[in-house]
Amino acid sequence: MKALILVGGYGTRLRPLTLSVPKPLVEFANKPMIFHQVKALAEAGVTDIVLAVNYKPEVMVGALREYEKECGVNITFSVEEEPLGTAGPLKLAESVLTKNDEPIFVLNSDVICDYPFKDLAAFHKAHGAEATIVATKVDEPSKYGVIVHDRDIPNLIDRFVEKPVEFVGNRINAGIYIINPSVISLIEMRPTSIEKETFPLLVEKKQLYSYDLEGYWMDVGQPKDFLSGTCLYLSSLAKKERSALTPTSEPFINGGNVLIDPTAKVGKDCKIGPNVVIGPNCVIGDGVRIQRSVILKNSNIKDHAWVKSTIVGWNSTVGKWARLEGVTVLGEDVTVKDEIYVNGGKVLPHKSISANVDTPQIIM
Amino acid sequence: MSTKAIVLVGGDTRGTRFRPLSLDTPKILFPIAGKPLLGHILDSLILLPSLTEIILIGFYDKAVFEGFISDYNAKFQLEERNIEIKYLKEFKALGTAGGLYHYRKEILKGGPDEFFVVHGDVITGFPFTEIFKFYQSLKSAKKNVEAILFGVKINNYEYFKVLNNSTDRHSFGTIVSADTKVVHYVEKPEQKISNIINGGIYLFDNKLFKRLSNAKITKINIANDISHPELVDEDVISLEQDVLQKLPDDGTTYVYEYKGFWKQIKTPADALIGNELFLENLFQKRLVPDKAIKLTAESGAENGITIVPPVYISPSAKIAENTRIGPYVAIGNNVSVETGSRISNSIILRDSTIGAHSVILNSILSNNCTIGSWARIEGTGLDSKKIAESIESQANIIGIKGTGNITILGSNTEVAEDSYILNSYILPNKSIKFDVRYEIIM
Repeated sequence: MKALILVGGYGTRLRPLTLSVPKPLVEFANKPMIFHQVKALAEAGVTDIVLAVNYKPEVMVGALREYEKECGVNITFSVEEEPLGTAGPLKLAESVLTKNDEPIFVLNSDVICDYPFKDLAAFHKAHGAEATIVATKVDEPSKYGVIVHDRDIPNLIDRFVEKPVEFVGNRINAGIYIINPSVISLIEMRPTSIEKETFPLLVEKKQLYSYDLEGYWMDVGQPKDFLSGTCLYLSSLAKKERSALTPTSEPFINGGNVLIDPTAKVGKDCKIGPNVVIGPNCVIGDGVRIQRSVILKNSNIKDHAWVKSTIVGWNSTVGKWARLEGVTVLGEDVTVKDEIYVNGGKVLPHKSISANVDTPQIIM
Repeated sequence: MSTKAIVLVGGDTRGTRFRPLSLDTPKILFPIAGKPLLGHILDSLILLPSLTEIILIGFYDKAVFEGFISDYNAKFQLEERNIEIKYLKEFKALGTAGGLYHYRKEILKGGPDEFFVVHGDVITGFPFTEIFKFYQSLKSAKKNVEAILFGVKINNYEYFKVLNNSTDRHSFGTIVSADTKVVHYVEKPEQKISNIINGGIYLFDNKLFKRLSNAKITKINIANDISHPELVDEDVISLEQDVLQKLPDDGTTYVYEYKGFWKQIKTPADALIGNELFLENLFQKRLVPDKAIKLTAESGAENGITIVPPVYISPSAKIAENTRIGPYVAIGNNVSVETGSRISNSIILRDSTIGAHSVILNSILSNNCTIGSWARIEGTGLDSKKIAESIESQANIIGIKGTGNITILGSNTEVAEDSYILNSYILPNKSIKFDVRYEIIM
């Protein structure tokens, strides 16, 4: 089977992290975001993956060569000359994707969940129509495009209602699809949207079904959701694969859902958790308090610092008695001086912060 | 030869600007650098060999000063000093000189030669002996001298104004002198006429009481003059307006020019500045009046406590390891500072517990506060560099507001683990479980 991952552009919503590293390589739970998807696809029997990108940094090519070997898949890049939307990249990669009649997985690279690829493929084959959308339940459907089903045929999509003012359902498009190669022939070679242009055509032909996603789902394309998504992922891991988490028997673990790379060092008297990821080679000093945060690799959190709802970028240093909170994001190689308070600061790479940041703002 | 000292201590219907701290302690008894403000004044006064009596005049309840007075009586006995100390309560707020007039007989008892009159709400180096020496040198030079004003010479007047919350006008008495002889005195002038301001300390001889009588008569006359446009309370006499303004005419008043630190204590933020100035003064002069004052950097590898001088730590306070304390910190009796805490530019009064890994910056903690682990109590503090810059750029200076730059916890405040309090005032007996920013919690 084959898959296309829609990576797109520069990941500006995840800046300042994406100023240093292409979005697919930003570590989510200590593994590059794209790796989670490549691995899940490979496990579901996918052999060829196309990455639809607007630009192709060398570092990304190198990283994906490794994943090819590690996961035993074949990865190719499909580089768009101009942004082609969500459907155009399928057309661009048509020759690769339509080599055989096997259905194709299509997914947005920002989406995390327990990828149900195997089950999805079986579901798709069973109903026999041309395409299946993965649907997830949301609390506030009024903010999204909501799926409305056919009255008689289970799971057949009747229509989409964009930002419904009245309750018509609570299932939305989760950004993961499986399509037959024939769908690509419906797409024109121009910037076009699979959601807005291709799917309505399939709906008309009664060829679009939805598949209910179990468990969590999150678009982690921006820092706030990146943190929320990390919490969801860690909670899921605690249920499915508790041994992957740092054991709660460690004296410094508070409340669980903590993932600490074995090469990271944690000092004494710390209180870490819940919902914390600490990357490789990080050094956490004594008496440090961390909750609901992600510390990326090679960072140093000094003694008595307090970190909450924060992403600490690679090679950064947080000073003694510093306090970070309010979805603060430190870019690569940022230094927060001792005793400094940062609330909701988005700090660009290589900056040194030596005065308090009381209110959310961008530090250039 | 005998000298008396009168300290004007004010009362609790005034000093509301010192809330919430004055809800617990009268402003004048508030500890600065580990000692009540009044104690700093008295400890400097008793360096005068001729001092025979200290009289506190104010309109606080008598009980307020009982403990303080008995402490000082014990101290005088121990040091074998024949000094009396008493508190005289005004029947109402009588202005800065009404109490002096009212209690003139009490003050003149025993025939003292001269009197120090001290406003209790300023902090300075209190150079009483130097003022006294200056007075004696004038007398021995056959000068006709009946009063010495303590004049504070201001180097950077604009900066000084900002630091003292004086923005719209010049809210200080201003002294114009020629070769130390005072030729003119203006209370709160509209224009800057001199860079010597009245520091709120005076040395008078007996003629003061003649002047007070004259002022009283004038007051009664005005009060009884039905054509006078304003209602005048004949009991209220102002030392500044009714006495000092008239003094220069007789050419018998001199100014002792002082170039050291001086600060009026009006708001809690002033107390923190006062604490800093006092400790810095001791530090620069390398004076250790008390072994609780730490003027040297101590970084004990064996106990892991880092002291950034100058700080005051009560001998009964317990400081745990891996803490960093200072500069400008005063820690009172029975305070417990737990492991890994950081305290800078703050006053911690009695009996508080500062939890592990917590941070206290630019704040005042009243008695018996409990701070949870990893809590952060913070005031932004004074940014003197920024003030200087805005003065230089001729920007409109908005002054230092009484609130907003420091955090104050009233007594018995509890702050939960992980909580953050920024630039807020917490009134006594509150339990804080959430973050508080720029708020007054009633």
